Amino acid sequence: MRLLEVRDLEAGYGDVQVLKSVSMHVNEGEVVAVFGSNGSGKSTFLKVLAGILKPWGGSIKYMDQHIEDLSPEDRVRRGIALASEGRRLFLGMTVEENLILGAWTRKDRVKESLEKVYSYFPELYRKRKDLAGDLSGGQQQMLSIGRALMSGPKLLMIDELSLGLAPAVVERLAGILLRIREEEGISMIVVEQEVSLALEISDRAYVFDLGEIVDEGRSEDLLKRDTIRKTYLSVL
Amino acid sequence: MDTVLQLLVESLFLGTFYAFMSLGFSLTWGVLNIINLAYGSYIILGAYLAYTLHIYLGLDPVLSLPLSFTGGFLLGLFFQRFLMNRVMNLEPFMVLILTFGLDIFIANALNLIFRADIRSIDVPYAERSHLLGPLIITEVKALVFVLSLILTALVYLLLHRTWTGRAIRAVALDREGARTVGVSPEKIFLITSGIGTGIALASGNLYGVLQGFTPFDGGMLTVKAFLVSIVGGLGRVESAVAGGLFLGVLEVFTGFYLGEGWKFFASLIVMFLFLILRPRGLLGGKYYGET
Ligand SMILES: Nc1ncnc2c1ncn2[C@@H]1O[C@H](COP(=O)(O)OP(=O)(O)OP(=O)(O)O)[C@@H](O)[C@H]1O
Ligand SMILES: [Mg+2]
Repeated sequence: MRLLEVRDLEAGYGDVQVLKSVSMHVNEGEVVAVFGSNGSGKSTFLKVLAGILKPWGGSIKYMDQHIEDLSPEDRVRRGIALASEGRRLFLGMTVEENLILGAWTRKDRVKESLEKVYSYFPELYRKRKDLAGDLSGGQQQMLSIGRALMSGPKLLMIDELSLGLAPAVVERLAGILLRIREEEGISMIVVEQEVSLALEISDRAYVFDLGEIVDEGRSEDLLKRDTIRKTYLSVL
Repeated sequence: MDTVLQLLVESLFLGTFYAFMSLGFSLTWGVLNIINLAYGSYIILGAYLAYTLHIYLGLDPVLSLPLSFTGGFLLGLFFQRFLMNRVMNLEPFMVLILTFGLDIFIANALNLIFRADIRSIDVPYAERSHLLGPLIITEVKALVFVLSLILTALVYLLLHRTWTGRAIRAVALDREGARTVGVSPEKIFLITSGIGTGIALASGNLYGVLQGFTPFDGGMLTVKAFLVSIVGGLGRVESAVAGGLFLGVLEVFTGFYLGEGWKFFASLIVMFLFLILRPRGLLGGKYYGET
């Protein structure tokens, strides 16, 4: 079953086009990785899916409905949540206030959502009264993902999962994500620069370059492919 | 000693009023990044509204306070929707010009209707005072103090205990972050502008009971709200309280020891000192979101 189906998506800033005819899809329950060089349009792509940036053209179908014209709020309400690049936390608020705001579109289910997020990220529970700005990088990433989970998403999009984090932290986060996917049946799009990690946690992957998808396939196949190994995994 | 005690109580009363009066100014500054030069004229507008309702309907300014707030709220919505939204994202300079123009417009409109004579709202309890030990407590000042305290606490609760309030703080801290969780910053701008202007007009009711006013007193009040916001540091209800109390002490003590004429001048000097030496204010907070 298709959860998300993107066709010929174009987008940019001002007159500068960034995305050129991007087509991709996400199946239900699937984890899809997106990687590619800096400035290739990965974050732009997620912003368009989240409704923060208006596309110039193309179509986005989610659960068999066109959502191009929906506001970010309506998209979150329907189950599309974004953990943005740079995390975009409310640093001057407490951890718990950040999480509560994540439930903006489901105000009646704050308590159970909090319990769920705390069960995946126990340290967020311990730090719930601390300011988000006082957390370590890893904890902030957990908070960013936790805040996205508070809306009860069907499609969780994470931009730059591992950026700036210690390997041990990344490994834990990856483990938790796989648990979340298993237990909640949430589909994910994970933008990840660390290609070996991206391919390890995903079922399929898309490779972006200069605003286009230049390669795609099952992650295990991509791992074996020479071009990928040479360009992105620095294996000779 | 008794004199100092008396002055401290006066400072507390006046300072708490200043804190409430300035909340709307610092809120719109912190959340929308707008320095509203018409803010003081909004306050004066509230005072004239209360004055008119008192003269023609015999309505006590305390009772017309919700009306002023509501009127201000609608005015703020209107102003944001039809004027501010158009210039907000252009140039900060345009915003200043626009609010400056609005300030002059309101002052002159009031002058046309009411003329420049000093008006005052003559409530029956205007002159009453009570002895409390060594202290003289003026009923009007105590009333304004208590109401300011309650209203300031309400604003605090609004910002910290309600969904709208959390969203307002979120937008102040990170607009794009707010957008990703589904909060629409544009809607929050409208609401914040409404609340800010509502506070201005409501505080005008209290100002009108405290002292006489003319259509052209708005500029001075804008400067005071500005001072409170700078001294306390932009951003939290607590900041406005700190700044308000500071201004209260400053005015009451300079007024008593140096003379009434020094009050405003001293405020200006302190404002410049703060801008130069401690631009982030006493508490150092920056935005409304900060806990
Ligand atoms: N707000 C913006 N305004 C104008 N141009 C932008 C903006 N954001 C991104 N761009 C440009 O769009 C292009 C794609 O940027 P984007 O952030 O989507 O790339 P990315 O693949 O996420 O890169 P990175 O790996 O560095 O995160 C870049 O050339 C960038 O300079
Ligand atoms: Mg990016």
